[in-house]
Amino acid sequence: MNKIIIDNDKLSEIIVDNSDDYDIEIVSDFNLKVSVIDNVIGNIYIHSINSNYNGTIDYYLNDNSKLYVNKFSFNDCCNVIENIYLNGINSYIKYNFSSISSYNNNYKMKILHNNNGTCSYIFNRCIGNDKAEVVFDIDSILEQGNTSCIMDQNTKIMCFGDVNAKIRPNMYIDEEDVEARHGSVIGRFSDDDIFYIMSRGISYKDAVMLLIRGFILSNLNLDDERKKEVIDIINNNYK
Amino acid sequence: MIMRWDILFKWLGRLLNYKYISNLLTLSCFFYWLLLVISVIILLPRGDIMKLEIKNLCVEVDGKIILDNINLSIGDSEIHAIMGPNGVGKSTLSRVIMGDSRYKVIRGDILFDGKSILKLPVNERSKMGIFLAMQYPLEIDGVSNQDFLRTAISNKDNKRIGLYDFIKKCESGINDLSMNKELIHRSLNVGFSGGEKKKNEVLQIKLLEPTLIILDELDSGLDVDSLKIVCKNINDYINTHKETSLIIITHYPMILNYLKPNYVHIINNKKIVKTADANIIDDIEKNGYSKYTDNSIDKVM
Repeated sequence: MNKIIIDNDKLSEIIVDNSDDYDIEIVSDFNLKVSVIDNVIGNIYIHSINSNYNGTIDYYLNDNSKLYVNKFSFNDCCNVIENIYLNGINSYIKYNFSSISSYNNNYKMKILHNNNGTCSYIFNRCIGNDKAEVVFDIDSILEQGNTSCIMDQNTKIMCFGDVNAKIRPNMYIDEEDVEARHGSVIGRFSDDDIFYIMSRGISYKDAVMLLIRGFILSNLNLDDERKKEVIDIINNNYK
Repeated sequence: MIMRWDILFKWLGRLLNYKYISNLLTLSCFFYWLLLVISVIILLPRGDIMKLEIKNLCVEVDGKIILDNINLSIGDSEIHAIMGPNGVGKSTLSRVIMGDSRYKVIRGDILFDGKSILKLPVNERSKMGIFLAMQYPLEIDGVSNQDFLRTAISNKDNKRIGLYDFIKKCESGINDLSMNKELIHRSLNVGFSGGEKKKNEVLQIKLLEPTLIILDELDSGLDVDSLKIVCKNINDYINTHKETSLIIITHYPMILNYLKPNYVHIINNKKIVKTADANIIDDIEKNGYSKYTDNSIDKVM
């Protein structure tokens, strides 16, 4: 396990050259580059709580490399640009991001499938509160000649209060040999779900907390210790 | 030793004249009467207090009346079946009892153990002991069955149940219901078969121990073997929880072979049009509901 705290906007570079875990905490503006070398599987957990920042993350994946990204943010005010370069043949990324926010959040993602057999699975979940403004711009790009690729992007935003939420899912595909999916949802938790939970004696507040925890955690692949950390953050900070 | 009676009487007289002695006596009298009244209230038989009493209930949704002048009384330990064709308001009635805010009660009252529950939120009704086993238990992705059940038990008991006690309680219920143990770790009802969902509802009954159970079309989505298991578990529950009453909402008489009702009510056109004993079930099985129209109201409990 490698623990890294990013507290300045100078370029930080992580080279994933063995199957190790990276735990990255963001506390201020940042500029991060992550490279995964050939035939390596990497796991990265990125988290931030109550921070304001602008940041960029560039991911470079080489031949037959795999990267699992799990990302959690709580009440950040942020502008983040993430570029994923799937340069190597059969390179693969699974990106899961869950966030809770009462402020302005802008996320711009670009996923470039630059080789054959590349796969991207992008899953974003966000709870927007009060007067939050949440925008996801996600572009998946596949140029002609890069065959047998899989592109999947799925974004859900659940709103409480007067939230301004936008999702712009784009897939620019210039190749017929591709498997592509996308889904976007902006909405609220269903009254039926809340009724069902409350009909078992659970208060409205606890019912909503259960749904929020479920929504956030079901999108993250975390070990029990980190899962507990996320639950504690939600329980202790969410009002 | 010479007894000084004069001194004894003098002190006794002084004592009786003291203000606090007389206050003490008055207070004692008050507590004596208070205890007497409380004892009488406790020892009095429940008399006509019913488990559930629905009085002249009129319900609308989007300005349209969907239940009209419903009257129903259910005593302790009684089993009532509510039957009728599709779309007549059987499930609506169950959701109104549970407190679904989509339905507006425009007239009448619902009493549970003698207290009006109309103003109580859904969770408070549940905590009083009402349980609605739903026709289509909802799938909630991300909320684990275990987390859900633990939160429910903790809310009912007003304290967080320990993991060991929870697992012990669950294991016994899961074994009784022949459920797959893995289901407890999965998202609530997500990917469960119809039978597994219904078994999960009955597991919740066993864990939450309600005193009024409403089974809304428990038989839908259940194969015969699962239906037998589920009904056996409900029978076992009501045999060990003697005060528990049961409302069975169904179209089909089959489930009533396993859960024997004391009374059968037929709903048609927003109203209870017939109340009878269990003998009516054979007639329904043979002839259907067609003859039970509004004109045939002969008894409303």
